[in-house]
Amino acid sequence: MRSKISSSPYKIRILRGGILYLLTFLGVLTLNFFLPRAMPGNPIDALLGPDSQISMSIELETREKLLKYYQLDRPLSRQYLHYLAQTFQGKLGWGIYFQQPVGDLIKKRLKWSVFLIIISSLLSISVALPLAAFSTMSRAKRVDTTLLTTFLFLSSVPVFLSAMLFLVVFSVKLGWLPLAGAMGELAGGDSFLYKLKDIFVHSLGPVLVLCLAESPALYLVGRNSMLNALDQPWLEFAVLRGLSKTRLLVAYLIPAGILPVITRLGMHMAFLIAGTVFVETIFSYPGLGRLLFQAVQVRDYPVLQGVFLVMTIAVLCANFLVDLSYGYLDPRIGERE
Amino acid sequence: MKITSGPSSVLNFLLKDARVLAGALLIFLILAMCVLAPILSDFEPLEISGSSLLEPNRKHPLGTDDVGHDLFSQLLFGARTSALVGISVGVTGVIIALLMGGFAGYRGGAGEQIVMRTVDVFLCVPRFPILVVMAAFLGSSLINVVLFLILFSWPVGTRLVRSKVLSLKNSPLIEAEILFGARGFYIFSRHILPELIPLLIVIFVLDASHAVLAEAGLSFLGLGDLLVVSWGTILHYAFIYPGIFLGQAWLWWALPPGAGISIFVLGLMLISSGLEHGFNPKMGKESKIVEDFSNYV
Repeated sequence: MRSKISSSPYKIRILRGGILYLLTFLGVLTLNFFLPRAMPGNPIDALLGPDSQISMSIELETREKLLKYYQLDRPLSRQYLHYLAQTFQGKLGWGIYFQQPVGDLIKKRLKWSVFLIIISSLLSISVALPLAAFSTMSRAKRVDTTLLTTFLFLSSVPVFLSAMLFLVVFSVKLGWLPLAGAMGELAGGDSFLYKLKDIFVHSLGPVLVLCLAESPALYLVGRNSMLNALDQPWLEFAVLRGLSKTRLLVAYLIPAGILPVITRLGMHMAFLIAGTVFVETIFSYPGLGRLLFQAVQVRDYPVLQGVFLVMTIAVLCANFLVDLSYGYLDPRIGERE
Repeated sequence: MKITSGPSSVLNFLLKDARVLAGALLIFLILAMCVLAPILSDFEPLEISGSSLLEPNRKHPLGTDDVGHDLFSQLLFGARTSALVGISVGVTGVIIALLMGGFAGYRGGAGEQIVMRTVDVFLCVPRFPILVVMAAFLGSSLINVVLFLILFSWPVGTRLVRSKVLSLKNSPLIEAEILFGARGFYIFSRHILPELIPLLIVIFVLDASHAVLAEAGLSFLGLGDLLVVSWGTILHYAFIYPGIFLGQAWLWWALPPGAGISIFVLGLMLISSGLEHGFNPKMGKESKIVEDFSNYV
């Protein structure tokens, strides 16, 4: 659907994208601002959650902190400007349950999610592209239909189901993989190589499940664009030149699929992030997605909002990066001035 | 471009295409669960009907959960929630997509700009996290969840309808009609709407499948309606029960609702991919639209 935009010059595309993402970001900020105020009753009570009566002493202290932080004694417009100013300074509020600044909390968790997403994206690409090429080469034969059906089937398995099954089979029944966490408790004093192995083993489950969820879409896109390439004269010429099958595959067919697949991956960032929420929760992986789950469990609203904001920023940045990379990956777009 | 429409040709696909047939069977299974739920189960889903954590036995075919709810009855009634969410979001999504996309594509102008830019903004927001935040703040009753799902499911359909209407509007047939003096509404209802029907069916099916997945996901996180049994809620309670995966209990507690969701979604996916293939055989290359929709949970 994006092809409509690509017909306009590269710079306009970037500008339009930038404005769109900025608008979206402002919209999300505004939503974030109004949500606690749309809850019934006093926003402080709402923010403190249902259990706020239990610990009065902590509550009073926190209440003051919150009142000062949100400037609730001021008019709404001032509150809004204050909120924007705070957010742009990276101050995301105070986690009521976690008892620490939301920003710090997120900083600690973010790296693990980024790690998961990057590794699983790379893995998904390297699985989906060759298989798509393989499928294209044997179009409509048994291999192709089998692959297609398998991926269609995989794409309908919800992430939380595949993650649960994976955990039960490989961690509980077979005991091959650890049950939870991102690294072992005792890993602190060990050598760098041991740590690396430990992190790798712990991430294997989450990464593979994310890859299972992500690769079907990439495979479909890759296969579509490679099938389109089959009709192109440059590929026909390559075939006529008598190039070997491997050469055709590596030098012609796979490159034809890379650009659409990367675009899809950027657009799919929201999907991947939603995936991390389930995967990290089930594997007890200390990332941002699990923080979202935990914040929902204990109704820690400032943390919830902070995580949501960071996730939005990540998605918008991914989209913008894809827009930017278009000029490099497909030079034709840059030339159409 | 070969476009087939009308009820008889739709039926033809159902009988010819293996994918559609298989998908329809799976959906039929789910719907049968919905309809027969009170007949097949001996207990109310939210009634405490036995001691907790029973293994499957004659009285409780899938055992009981930690509170003592009959899991078989929960599974059957959970199908109702999923179907309700899927159908209501799908229908509303299609209606909004038709109105907004039809308006934007057919009339154009400033209205189109407003609609399409709104669509752009909505499509940029990560949908699942925003659903989580809205459900957490504004309450996660079933009606709320459905409303939130509708709020974030119309943009993709609108975009698809608009581009289809645009391409139809510029076709020689419509141009000729305008030369013969046909008016806007006549053209739209007689010549554009029928051509849109295949697309609308596909949009319905895909909106519904995403709604089912998203509702299950929200309930899984604990953002479900406490008064309604849903597959996601069953999974939630199973998952937060300590040591659920260490014994056998997950086999009859967590697996059946998970499989239910998969079967429902797989059925819908099979139907949409088969329909799309049938409606637009030239593509033959698997679902552009399925791709567009796969941006979800």
